[in-house]
Amino acid sequence: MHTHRWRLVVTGSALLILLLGLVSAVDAQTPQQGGTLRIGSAKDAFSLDPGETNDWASTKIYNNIYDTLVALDEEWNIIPHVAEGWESSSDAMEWTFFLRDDVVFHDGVPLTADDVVYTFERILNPQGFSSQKTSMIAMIDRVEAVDDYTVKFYLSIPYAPFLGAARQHIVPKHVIEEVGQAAFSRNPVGSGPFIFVEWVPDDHLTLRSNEDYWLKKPYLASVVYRPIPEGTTAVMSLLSDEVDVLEEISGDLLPQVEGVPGFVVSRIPAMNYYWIGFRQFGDPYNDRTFRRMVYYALDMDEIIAAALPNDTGTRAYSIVQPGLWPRDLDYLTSHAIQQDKALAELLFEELMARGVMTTETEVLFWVNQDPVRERIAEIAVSELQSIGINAVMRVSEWAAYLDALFDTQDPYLYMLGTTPKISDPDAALYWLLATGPDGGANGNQFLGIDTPWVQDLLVQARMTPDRETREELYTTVQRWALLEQVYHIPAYHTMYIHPISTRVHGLITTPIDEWWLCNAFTNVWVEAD
Amino acid sequence: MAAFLLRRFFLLIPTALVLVTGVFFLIALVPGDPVLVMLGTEATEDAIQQLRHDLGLDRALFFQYTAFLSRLLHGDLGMSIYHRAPVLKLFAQRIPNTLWLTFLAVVFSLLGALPLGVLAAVKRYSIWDYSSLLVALVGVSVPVFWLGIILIYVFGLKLRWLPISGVGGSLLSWDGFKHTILPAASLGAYLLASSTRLLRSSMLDVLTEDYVRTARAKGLREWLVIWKHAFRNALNPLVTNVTLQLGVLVGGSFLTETVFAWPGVGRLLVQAIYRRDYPVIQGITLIIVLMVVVINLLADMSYVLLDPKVRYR
Repeated sequence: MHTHRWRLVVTGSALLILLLGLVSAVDAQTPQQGGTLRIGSAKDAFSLDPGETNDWASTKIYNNIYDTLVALDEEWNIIPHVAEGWESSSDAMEWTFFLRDDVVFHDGVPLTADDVVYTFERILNPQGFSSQKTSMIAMIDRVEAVDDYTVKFYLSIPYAPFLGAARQHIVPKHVIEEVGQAAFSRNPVGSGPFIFVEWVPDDHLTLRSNEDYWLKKPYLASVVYRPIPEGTTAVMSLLSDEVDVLEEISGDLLPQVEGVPGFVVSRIPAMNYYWIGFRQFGDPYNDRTFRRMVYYALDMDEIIAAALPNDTGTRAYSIVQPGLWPRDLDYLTSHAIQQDKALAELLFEELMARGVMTTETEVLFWVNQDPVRERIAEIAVSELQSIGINAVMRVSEWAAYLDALFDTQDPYLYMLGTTPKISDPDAALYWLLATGPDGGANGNQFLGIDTPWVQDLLVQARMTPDRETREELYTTVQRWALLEQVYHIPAYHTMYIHPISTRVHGLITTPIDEWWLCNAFTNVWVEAD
Repeated sequence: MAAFLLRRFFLLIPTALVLVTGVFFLIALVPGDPVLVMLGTEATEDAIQQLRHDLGLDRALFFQYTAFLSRLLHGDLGMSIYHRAPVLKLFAQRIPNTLWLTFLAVVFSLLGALPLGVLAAVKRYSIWDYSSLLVALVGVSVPVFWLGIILIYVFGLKLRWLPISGVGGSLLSWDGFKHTILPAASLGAYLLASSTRLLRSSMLDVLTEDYVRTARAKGLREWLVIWKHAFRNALNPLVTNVTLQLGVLVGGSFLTETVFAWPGVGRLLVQAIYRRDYPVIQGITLIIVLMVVVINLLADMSYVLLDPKVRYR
């Protein structure tokens, strides 16, 4: 009798405990309404006018204030957003977008085709300010509102990747015309999930939730961005719970956060590209044998591993990021030059025999103040010196470095990086390798090259909507630039690394490091204390 | 006295003019272009030329200088290239933070230096003497940013007594005050060290003076002798030191402001230098020059109060 009842009690309690456990586990995953997300930024924003600036610090913030015409999903494909649908003419020169009729700005005024037209026109023809985005949409000849909710774009050339360029943040025409651009950039009004509250420069920027957001109601009640320029201070702010997430963390500080309970480190390979380039404005840099010799002298894998410790980056073999078409990475990797010092010495002797170089010829490796680039330059210079080359390193601060890059015709080895804004190989390849003036800075400026046939291929690739043709063209150009001519030694792609408190849920880091706190694929929430 | 003040005031104008002219031309000669910095590597040639023209940077340097001077005469310090806001407004937003930080740094340093310096002199060769010398040595040698990070680590992260960065709420609130303690302590460390040493040696000098012996002989209590007679006379070099350092503190608080993410003038100025934001560099330099001159003038006037033998004609 007693044993039977005793067993019943025990089993019953066990079941009850299990049930309670399950319930509380489920509860912990149920999104909570009304949290505040505190973000530790690396830099203060520059401007909250999306027509003006492309910079990373500002984009991260205004992504949540505005809606874009089209958006991106997790797989990096274009999906409808303000535009419910679109169609293009067969020659990819006319594009029509059909807008939703339920999008409303934060002041209650509905978003219409006029605002879309205004958004694009002010980027094409900025009055009283300068736009960093003009070249991105330079292919637009004119844009017009067909009716209140239909917009048509007429391009000056057939441009297959237009959807990427169309992903612009829609601004309210009536507000900017009333307050002016300068005031608007500091006091923005958008239609997105978060409403601007206040911005105390260099101290904090606050947004609050747009409860009537058409897509979904944000879980967060408010977001605070705090620029903390000193990395050590930022890490300590995170560990002492003054902020919930850091936008940036350097490789040497990473061990302070990894493995600490209560924090998670999210890593994602970035869609950027950093390289060592040769400015071919003079001897010996414009000699292909010289470039090959330099590449043979360097152990790039080791250099990158030393410059980017703790898995903060990966070795690059292509200009186009891994994961983006044309997926030619295998070919480029297997045909890439591997370190071979004996061969490098032979090539050096050949160059000396031809009179291109002597042992006195100075080979300059010039970088700006950046710990990773400085480290790469240090090691590269010493490896070059070890085969008898008179290699020297120079470090300048950014403004002075830019000056030399743009305004002189001096040849040297340089390092730069780029983060393309659209997921199309045209973005990086055209800018780097095109040689004709075409509304964008071009390879001429950095590389000093002039090959019209490459220019033709790149223009052709822009103009045809046929994906296979474009893949072929881009593959040809990339292989030519990297393997045959060695204009670049591809160096690295970084990883975007973010330490996040475990109280934050749904914060997805993306390969172009744009953050969305409430969009088609996520709605961030924070556990209350 | 009035004549003295008037003369000093008039000297101010040529001083400021020479300094500002020097800064203007020096910074223009340094390689670097604010337009390129703003527009970035992917800028088109058209955009670069357009912005240069809009900012008036394509004119000859001399005409840019005359334009700058004429604006100055109207009290206009110009528009920041980077922030697109008036320089004066940017300064006004940040100067309360820097002033408050500097003020507290001086207060903390004096709170430490006064007792330490006097005790060290009065109790020569004692533990007070040696520890104050040690404090002075450490305070002068330790880099301010290192000290800042250590203070954050100990009091912010480990003990959780104080907040780590930023200004918190309003400066004058209790929360704002808590946010100011650590940065003011790290900023004031050097001043504490130098003031301690100065006060100690100054007191040692004064304590051997005849009037001190007289006061003692008159039977005055020791603490009255020290504080009312000796200390007041020893203050002179200390005041000089503090005012000399004040000018440095206002503009040179950059390192502390960076470590503590403090939105002050130091950070604004150094960022402007990196960006080649000429109007900000020129405007803030001018203001700092004026502030330093005024502070020095106040210091000179304070000698009159401290030392009855000092009179200006």
